[in-house]
Amino acid sequence: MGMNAAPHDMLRDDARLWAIRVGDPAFADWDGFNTWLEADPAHNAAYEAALDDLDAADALFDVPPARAPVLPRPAAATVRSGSGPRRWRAPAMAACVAVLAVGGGWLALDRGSMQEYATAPGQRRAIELVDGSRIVLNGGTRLALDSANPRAVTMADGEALFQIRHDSEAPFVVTTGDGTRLIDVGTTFNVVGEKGALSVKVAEGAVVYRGGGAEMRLDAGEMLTRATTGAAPRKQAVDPSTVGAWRTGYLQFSDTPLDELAADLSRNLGVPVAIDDRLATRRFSGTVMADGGADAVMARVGPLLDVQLERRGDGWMMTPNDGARR
Amino acid sequence: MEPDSKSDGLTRVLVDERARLLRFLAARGAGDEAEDVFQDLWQRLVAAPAQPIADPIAYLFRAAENVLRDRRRSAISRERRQQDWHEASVGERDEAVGERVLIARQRLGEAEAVLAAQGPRVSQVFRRYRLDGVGQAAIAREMGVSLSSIEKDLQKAYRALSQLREKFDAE
Repeated sequence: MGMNAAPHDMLRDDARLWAIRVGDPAFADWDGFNTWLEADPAHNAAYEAALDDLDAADALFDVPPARAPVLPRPAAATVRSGSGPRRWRAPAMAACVAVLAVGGGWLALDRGSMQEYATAPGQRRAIELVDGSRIVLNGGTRLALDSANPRAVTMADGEALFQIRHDSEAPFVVTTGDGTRLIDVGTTFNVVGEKGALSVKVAEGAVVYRGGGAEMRLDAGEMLTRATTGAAPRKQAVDPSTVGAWRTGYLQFSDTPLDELAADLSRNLGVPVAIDDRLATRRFSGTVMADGGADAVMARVGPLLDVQLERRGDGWMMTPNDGARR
Repeated sequence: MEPDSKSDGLTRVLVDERARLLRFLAARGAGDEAEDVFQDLWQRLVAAPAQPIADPIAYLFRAAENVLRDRRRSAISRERRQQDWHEASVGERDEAVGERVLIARQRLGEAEAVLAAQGPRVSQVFRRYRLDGVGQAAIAREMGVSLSSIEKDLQKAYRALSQLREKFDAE
């Protein structure tokens, strides 16, 4: 590059290029990367420094919008007004927060300043935060709150609806198990994360997704799906009124593949629901009432989806409704 | 074949590629922990739902890279939590937070100016990649240039932003 680039600068520049290349989800030249790393032990250190450097450069753009409201405004209004970059990160706001755990029979482990919450499949619990925000955990969900940073949550897996009191100076950040960050710009959004697969639906306000070097803004009525940690996230429309509807006992589906629907049923009913491969690509749109126990729900769901549902061991098996059984 | 043949396939590739992955983990600085990281990777893959994977080897390397980054990130956030705790006990004033936001806004303005100074293509590539979340190959197709020139544009953008940050740090 420069006229008299020192070897140190050249190494930094090479490392930066590798960090940029590896950061792309489609990167495939792992052998080339390995060869470069092995050529000199200093290369890995330079690469890690480059990763930090890229993060720090990205963070320059994480700033609240210039028009900070003097009076608190509804988050939705803040989001719809104006233009320009609306990405920001909490300037490490440290404050004390008390977590009011509602109900019993669920797990809350205290690890230093980290509080961990877990629900069993079929169980649901709400966490009320002192700032008025509320997190509703669906079954089979684990998440951790850090009392040292009340605007940050780590969600290992499962499903939760976040109803967040908006604070433009301290956005609420959900980090999933694989390090993906969801930065709340508005208020109500639902997250399903399991082993790198992710679905985020926004009912009100907006959420910024950040993972694998990519960033995407989701407004109300938009959803993002990502098949695996490394996969590219996809954006599509969602009916905002159906977001988090599982809390009411009604599960809403819109052109949902049946394997995803089976996973939703098992999270809500607390029983494993397996699905025959032949059904995996079939889709369903409509509402399933998930109250009244697994037996009653399965009896309703079978005819609705035009499938057979049979008990299989501890769980249920969904098979095509072929002529043989009629 | 069997319904779970896909995940079986992946763990088989993991076993076959063990030496190559351990070598990569060592080169990526895992050192004595390479075996631990490999176990971590194994557990994640076993727990992952079966799904078709186009290029299992690239998938495994990506997963290994992610495990390493997660480990590093959690080590850093442990440190940071202790620091935040210190700040909380010292007690940060609201005015100090407000001032920091003000500085951050000024710096955002400078960062945007620095990007613009790299030329319209560099700043467009940076925006498409980082803000719109478009992959590098897709941007290359959109703009009718090669992947390597997209990489170079991003390198130029990040180099300039890094120099700007050095200036900030010196202030």
